[in-house]
Amino acid sequence: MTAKPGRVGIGVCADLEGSSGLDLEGSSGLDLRVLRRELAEAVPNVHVEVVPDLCSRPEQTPEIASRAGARRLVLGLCARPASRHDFQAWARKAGLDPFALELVSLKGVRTGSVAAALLAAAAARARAFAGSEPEQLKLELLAFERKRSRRALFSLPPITYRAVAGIEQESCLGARCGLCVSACPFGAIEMIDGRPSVDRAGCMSCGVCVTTCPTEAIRFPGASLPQYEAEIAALLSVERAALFFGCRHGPGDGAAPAAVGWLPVEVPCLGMVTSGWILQALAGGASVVGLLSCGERCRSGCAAAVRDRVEYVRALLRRLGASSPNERVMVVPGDVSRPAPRPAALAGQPSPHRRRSLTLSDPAATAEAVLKLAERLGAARDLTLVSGASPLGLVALRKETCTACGACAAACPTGALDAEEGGEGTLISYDAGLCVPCGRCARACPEADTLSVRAATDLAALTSRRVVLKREPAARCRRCGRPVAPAAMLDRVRALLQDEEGADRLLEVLTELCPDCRELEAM
Amino acid sequence: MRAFPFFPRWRSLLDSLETLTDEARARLEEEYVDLFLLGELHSACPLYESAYLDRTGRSRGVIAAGVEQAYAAAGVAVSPAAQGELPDHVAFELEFLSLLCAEEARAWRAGLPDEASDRMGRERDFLERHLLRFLPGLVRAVKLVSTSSSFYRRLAEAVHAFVVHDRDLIGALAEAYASAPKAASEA
Repeated sequence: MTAKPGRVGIGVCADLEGSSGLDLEGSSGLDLRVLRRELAEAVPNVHVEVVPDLCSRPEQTPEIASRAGARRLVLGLCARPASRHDFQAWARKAGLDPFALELVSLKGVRTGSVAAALLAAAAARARAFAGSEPEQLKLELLAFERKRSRRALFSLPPITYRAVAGIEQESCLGARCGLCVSACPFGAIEMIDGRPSVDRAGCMSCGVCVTTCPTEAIRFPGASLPQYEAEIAALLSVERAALFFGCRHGPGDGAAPAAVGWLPVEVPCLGMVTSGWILQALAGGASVVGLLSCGERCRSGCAAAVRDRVEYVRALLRRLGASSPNERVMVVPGDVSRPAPRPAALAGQPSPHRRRSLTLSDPAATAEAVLKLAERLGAARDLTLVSGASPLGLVALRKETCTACGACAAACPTGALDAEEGGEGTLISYDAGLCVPCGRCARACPEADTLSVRAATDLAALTSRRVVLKREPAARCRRCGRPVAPAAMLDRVRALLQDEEGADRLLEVLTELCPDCRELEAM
Repeated sequence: MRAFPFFPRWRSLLDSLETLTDEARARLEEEYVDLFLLGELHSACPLYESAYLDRTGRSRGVIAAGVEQAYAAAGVAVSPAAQGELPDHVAFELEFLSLLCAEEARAWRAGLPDEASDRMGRERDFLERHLLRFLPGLVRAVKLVSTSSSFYRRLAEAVHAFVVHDRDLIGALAEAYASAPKAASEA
């Protein structure tokens, strides 16, 4: 059977039925027939089957893929798999991409609708997977026997694959941005000839760069933004969803978060989950957002950043007027055994028919989420929250010293600052809803104490959208009358050069003539 | 082969090979000429290493000679039957690597891990110094000028995936080999 594009195969371990007595504590387990029917109805273009002994016999994976006629596979397991790698290896044997397989631990999940939601979210995630490129996979050997030939290694699976970040050069802003270079906790991204380049050996697959990039130019198999967007959007359709972001390297021995009411989203590193994600989840209908990091073992050192983000979201919610914000977003301690709190959603339940699509790394979507929460909570519009963890920034410009040269706009990676040159002169405008507080504009500004940027969430600025910060008429060419440059900029040049010897003639040419007429004059 | 993570690329290549009609075969020849032959080193997608590493064209001979030296160090040379084809043609480079792999496999079978390891080192050197320095450029060039259903585009992508994977595999094996305790290997 040849695979159909966009089709997803779902295999569910038959032991989830509960008769096996597996850690289901007297419950009757899931009714898999109902689950199967629900899934087939809720998820389009899907093949669902119940597979006996799936958890203990991963070698059934290729058969499931072939019966489903799918290149994307979701497996619902009753136990946490001892080795993820076995399933991956068998999926590869079926000719699937190593990251085209999603494993969902349904251990202890007693409600059919929750199991269905988790599997549907995994199916959405699998469908959003665009496939791996050769440079985005890093091969690793699990065990090595020296006398084995390479041919044997090739057909047998002591090989596993890890995703590494890859940069799509077409959408990358290059030297104009460079945010990924400074964001990488391992220093594995370097600017070479004005283009960021990932050192595959140094990349530790944390995915922090993926959420830092303002143009979504970073590809990361298995942890790409479209995958998370599809997965989270699907999970948010559950009533009072308690979303749970857990580090892939997190403590694996505790109870499965899904068993105690959380809807888990696995991330390669919690450092990837920005405050923007949390705000968008809350505005999208989540009742609570929980975060579980791998704690002391974290190699990327994200714990402090995660704490700051949680504090920031709590402070923002408090200022917006939410009651008990500490229960809305929390760092979950290592042992996930306490039931997830599930108060009514802050932003109300999204209509199941109009599923929101998310754009997680887009500051505009975060700004929209903040405004939505503010509206729901009836917050006053004069709120400014300054915090290093704010996903949004706030630019202040001193009109008196700004010369409208446009250097800030040229340095802005998101287009929050814009310089528009028209017949009237130059307009410097700013949209706080697009501003990520990267500070590139402040560094680019040639004037002292003129432009500053703070990491701050300002409701008034977000509400007013694009505003004009500076309007400067153009000085006109005395020969042809066309605009030369912003008048204030030329004044500044004049002030800087006036004491130089022979500056009079130079200034006259520079400030009173347009480039074309300068050449004519010279002839 | 099926455990190879980029098997889908090979499958699509094999599929298109299997369904090739005579008419399509004739078109393939035309496309080959258009893509790779017209203009030789200045064609849309030249098949020579030197065309990518030296855009000025001044040191192309030096690059080709470097490749020839690598062949000579392994005791092989471009056959006279190739009628003067340059040694840095991608087909020769790939064939050279397959030759090294065959030698490596023989060494493993004969129970000579050190010799096999030596061959792996040569493969790695050649991949890093030659093939992988220009293959990505060649693949980009093919992708730029061909449609997504083009046979040559599929071929280029499949070969690229295989070569990148091979480099990674050799790297991981060499690392493991270097760190494996001697005693274990002799046991």
